[in-house]
Amino acid sequence: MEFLGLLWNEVVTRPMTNSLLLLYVLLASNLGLAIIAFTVVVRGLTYPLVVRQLRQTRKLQALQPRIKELNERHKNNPQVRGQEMMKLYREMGVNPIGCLGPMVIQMPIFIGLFWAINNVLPFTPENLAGLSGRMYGWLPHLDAIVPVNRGFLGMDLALEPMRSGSILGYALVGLSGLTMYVQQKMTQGPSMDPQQASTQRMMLFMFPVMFGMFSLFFPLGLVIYWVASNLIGIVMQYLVTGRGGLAPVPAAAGASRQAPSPSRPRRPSRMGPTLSGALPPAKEHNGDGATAQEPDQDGEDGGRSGGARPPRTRRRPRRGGGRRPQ
Amino acid sequence: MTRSGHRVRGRRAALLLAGALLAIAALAGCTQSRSAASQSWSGIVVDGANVYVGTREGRVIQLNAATGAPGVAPYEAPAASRNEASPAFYGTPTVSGGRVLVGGYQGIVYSLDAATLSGALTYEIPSSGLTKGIAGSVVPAGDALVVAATEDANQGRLYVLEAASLTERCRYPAAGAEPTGQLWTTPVVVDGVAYFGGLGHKLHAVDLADCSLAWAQPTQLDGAIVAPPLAVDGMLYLGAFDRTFYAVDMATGAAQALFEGEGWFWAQPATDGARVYAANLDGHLHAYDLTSGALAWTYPAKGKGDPIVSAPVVVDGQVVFASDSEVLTVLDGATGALQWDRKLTAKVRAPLTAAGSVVYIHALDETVSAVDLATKRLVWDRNLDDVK
Repeated sequence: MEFLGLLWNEVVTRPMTNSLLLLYVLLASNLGLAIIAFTVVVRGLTYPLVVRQLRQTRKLQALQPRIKELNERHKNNPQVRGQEMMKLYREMGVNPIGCLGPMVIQMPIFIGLFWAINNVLPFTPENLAGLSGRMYGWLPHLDAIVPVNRGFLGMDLALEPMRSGSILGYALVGLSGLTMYVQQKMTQGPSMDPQQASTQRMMLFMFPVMFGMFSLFFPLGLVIYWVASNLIGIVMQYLVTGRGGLAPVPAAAGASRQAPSPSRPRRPSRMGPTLSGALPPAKEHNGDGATAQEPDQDGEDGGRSGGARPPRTRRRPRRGGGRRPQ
Repeated sequence: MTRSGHRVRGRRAALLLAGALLAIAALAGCTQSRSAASQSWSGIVVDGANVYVGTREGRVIQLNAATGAPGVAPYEAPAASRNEASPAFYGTPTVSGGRVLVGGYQGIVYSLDAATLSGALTYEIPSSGLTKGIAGSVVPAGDALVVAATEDANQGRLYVLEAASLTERCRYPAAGAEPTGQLWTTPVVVDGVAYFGGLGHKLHAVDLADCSLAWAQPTQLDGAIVAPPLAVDGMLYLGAFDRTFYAVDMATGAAQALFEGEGWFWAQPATDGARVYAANLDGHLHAYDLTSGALAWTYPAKGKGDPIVSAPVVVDGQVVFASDSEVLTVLDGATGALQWDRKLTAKVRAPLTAAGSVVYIHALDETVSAVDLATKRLVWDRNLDDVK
């Protein structure tokens, strides 16, 4: 355990702490700006991971109708169900845990950053003494900037919003919840399952509220990081998947927003028509909340295949760029 | 939505809410520990047959100096409220006029009857700052007490109090003056002048009669200052966070760099009259020869040790120090050669105290040990958590 702690310190926390201090020196001893710049750098470095994660998530969302269909079709035969699902994943180029990998890699970065910010804002003598051992002796000028100036826009970045009582601090807390809501709204895709849709709606509000409440108990320096990180995340999300769940629903779509119907055009996506175009809609909403099962087009059950199956082409997702008509 | 659907949804909402509340409770605990002292390192003061020590939980404990047996019931400082720092004691208690004096990290000076540890007089730093606190010792100076305190993120202040009543006599700097930075140090008083450094990189000299600046201006160093200075023959010796050890003229404040370490200087130096011993957070103990004006030796000569936060003491030509290495080390003061060492129960950050040939050590696990340098044996040890 001691070795793991040492490894964590040397590989994650220490480089981040020193980078933050270096940015503080470069940005006229302004810790708030240093945290924002640090966030931009870290999020920039993890951009490829985020893009991969977003794309995998999007693909999985698009596959939900077919997964549900497979679940229903083979509910009594888990083995076949598993095989069919793996086959489906292979065909569509989806790794079911592919979206987890990048997330797992990002976690140490977030945790390391939390400790880096805590390190440079020592609150007690033992924290300050500990900072000495975390600084690289070969980096010039770092000793002279200790202790860092904790002020930013009239706030003490070492204090929690609850303790500081700063109006701007509370505004940042609200902003952290709001930006998280927006980011999450952009991520959420349409759900075929009413229960899932209900859970999604709940989480859409629950997490930003939770996040906002967490922010009340963390130093304002970290709240600034969260807000900056969320804003960058929103921009990244827009570049990769477009407005996503924030896009206005065409009036023709009727009352239901839960699923695309054959009668309305699908929302254009920065992902392009990769999966959504290739997948047949599984359910059709009839407007009163009930759903009707779309005839199966997979042909696997041998008796329900009636329509022509769209070609199962695998296209590469488009990178960035504008929308294209479907 | 069906009734079962509502039930499922309600259950999920309840689960999410419970998770959120648990997480908030856990995180609140984490953030509380940021402002609360997780360690604290009060030194030990010897007064007659007793020793006194403060704890990280805000207790002042009296032990028998010869046996380590607890004396009267400990004094317990009131628990901190949500918005206050911990009541932990970092500074070493002092004893003057039959009173034990100690400053708490939540910004309160306590004066207790030394015999009973009761009859507490208190003085709270008059600041609404959320980060106010005292991390050094309360220093008796005639009929006054001197304490350095932090008021907020950028401001510290020296308070001079009447010893008998704990009422304020004066403070430095006056309102509106240039901030000193946080003060996490113990002032050194010589001839009615208090000398102390701050995290604002400046060394101050304050006349205790009226709290005016004794020098033309504070002396600016290149690093923050936590180490209390050591006064020897009209000079102050101290190290700073710029890794430099300085000599400062007590009359004028003129500073001269003497040598450099590889880390910050945190502890107050010690002297035997011939040399000044300065501990560094890089794990080295340096001996500066006052006669030749050169570095006499450095221990260890090769490699690095663990950070030394604890101030060393000099006993009979031997310099003794403890560090994060959990070892008590005894060196020959003249040569820096290792005489002997002894394993301790935990890291030591509190300054060491010597009385005769006995050295008292307060380790971070709250164990107080008395080691006799003459016999090289442990006289007694006691864990303060066991003292009720």
